[in-house]
Amino acid sequence: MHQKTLVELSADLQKGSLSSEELTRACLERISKYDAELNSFVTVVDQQALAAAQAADARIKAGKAGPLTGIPFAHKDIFCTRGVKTSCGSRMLDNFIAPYDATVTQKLLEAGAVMVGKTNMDEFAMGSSNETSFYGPVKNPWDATTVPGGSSGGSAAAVAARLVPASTGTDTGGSIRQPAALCGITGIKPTYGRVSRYGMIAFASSLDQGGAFTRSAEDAAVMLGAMAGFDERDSTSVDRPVDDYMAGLNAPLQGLKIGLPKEYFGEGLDAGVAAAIEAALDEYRKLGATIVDITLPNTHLSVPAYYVVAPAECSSNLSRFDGVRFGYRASEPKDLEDLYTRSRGEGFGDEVKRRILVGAYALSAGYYDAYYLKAQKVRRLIRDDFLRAFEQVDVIMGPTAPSVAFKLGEKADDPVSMYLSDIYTIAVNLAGLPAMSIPAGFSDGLPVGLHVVGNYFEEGRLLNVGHQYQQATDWHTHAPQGF
Amino acid sequence: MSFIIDCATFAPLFLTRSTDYGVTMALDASEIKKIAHLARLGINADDIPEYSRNLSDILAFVEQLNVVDTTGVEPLAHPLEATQRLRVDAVTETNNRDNFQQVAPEIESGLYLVPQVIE
Repeated sequence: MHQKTLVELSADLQKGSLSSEELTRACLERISKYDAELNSFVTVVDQQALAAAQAADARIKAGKAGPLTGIPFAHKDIFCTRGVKTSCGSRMLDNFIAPYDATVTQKLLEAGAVMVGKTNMDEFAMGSSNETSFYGPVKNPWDATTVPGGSSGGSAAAVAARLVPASTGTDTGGSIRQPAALCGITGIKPTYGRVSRYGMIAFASSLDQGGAFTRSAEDAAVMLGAMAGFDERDSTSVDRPVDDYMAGLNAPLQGLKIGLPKEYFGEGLDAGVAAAIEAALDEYRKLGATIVDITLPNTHLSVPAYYVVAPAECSSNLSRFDGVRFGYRASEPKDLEDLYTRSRGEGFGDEVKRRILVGAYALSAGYYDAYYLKAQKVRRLIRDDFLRAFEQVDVIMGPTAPSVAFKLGEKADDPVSMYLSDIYTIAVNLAGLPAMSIPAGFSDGLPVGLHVVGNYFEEGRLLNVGHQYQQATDWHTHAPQGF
Repeated sequence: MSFIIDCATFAPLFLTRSTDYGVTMALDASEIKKIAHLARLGINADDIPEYSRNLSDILAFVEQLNVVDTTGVEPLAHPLEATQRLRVDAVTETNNRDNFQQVAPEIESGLYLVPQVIE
């Protein structure tokens, strides 16, 4: 049962050959069997999940079900869930029971999806390996000595290990796509503003965007269809109808123009990853696509621009954690300053502190123009590169990450080297474009992800391009050994 | 066709160290303390050398931005260049004080408590 995709399980539920309660129990059993080792969940909500599953079964019987009704999912612990701990991977929020639901939470629950728990993540989504979590690192199901990627590492590992058919994630610089690649699953980050940020704990507000992990592009179409949409409670939400992502999945790829940025295939790219991507492109040629060489000349500036913009916005967003209204409070503060300083000092981990310091510095008097404003100007150059490319091509492809999953601890003490594992994904966030990672083979026995970037609001095209590839290949069906 | 393209003519993507740019940007202990104070962020004195090293590395890394000429380029604050949406000036929120204060560290009579501010 656990090897079936979301769409297959949904069909079984509708037919009545499977109940949501049976399916949910099976997921909970797998979590209790495997997750002590993987550590992909921070919180599991057995009783709540079973009650939701029973309600879903009643809804299916009443003929009022949608494609997600009765489907168990894991929710990244960055989305507020009323009455359930929402930790954001931090000691700061270890005691935080969210008093309200994020819009994404609400939409998924209204669709009848069954939340089985909240997944582990890098603290406040700051990390590329899931090693900065207060709750300890997540293991990659393909090789327990390697990282699952980050920041949505728990969500990716849980889907890869077949604990749940789908999960949610957020992506500020690659936090859905990079772990999807390293765990061998499908992950999509839509256009900035497509999925509501309301109740999604903010890291860098001009870059943060919610999305989904699944085992196929078809499944991702179902998840994204339920999560996307205008929300007046998010001031940057885009007021525009959501496309029918399922309707476009079967369009043929004949005549599709795929842009290949020469900058993505240079120094630093692992040869095994490059070979897998090359094979994937050959497959697309067979499907009728043409490959067009393009250039994104400011690519090399995207990581530096990101590491000004993201910390600056993080230092501002995280100023709300002050030990007064919610979250961690230091004991016996001697005055108000001591309350702020020690609550923050004791509540935040190292990487979060580093980014707050970098951000505070970049925004401080005398440095604002040199860092933040400069980075925002470079950000325009990076976006303009993409706009020019999309005049010539329909989608852009390349590797999602420069290597397969790296070893736990390998980059933990070297922030800059860690930052570079997001080199191909970060520019997309700066430009606000939609992008997806799909499994495209293996290198040294570990999964390789193919990165597909689309023009604004072309999530439907990305899913179509992913689905057609998954009809012609079976990389997405490979499960890690033992799962 | 091989996709391992010789990128020697392009700015390398994988420069990682301050020495790669010949920049000597460094933050000393007193600057780290000052920034930590601005951010109201408690840090251990023992950790200052490491913060100093890490932050200097990060700042040196972002110095790459200065190699590009951005004269006449407008900063991009929002990827879609959207402007703030305005809502109707109407009461839409209800009072949720009791609900929100359930997660507060310390309250009394609906007020958040902090250490005494005025002697």
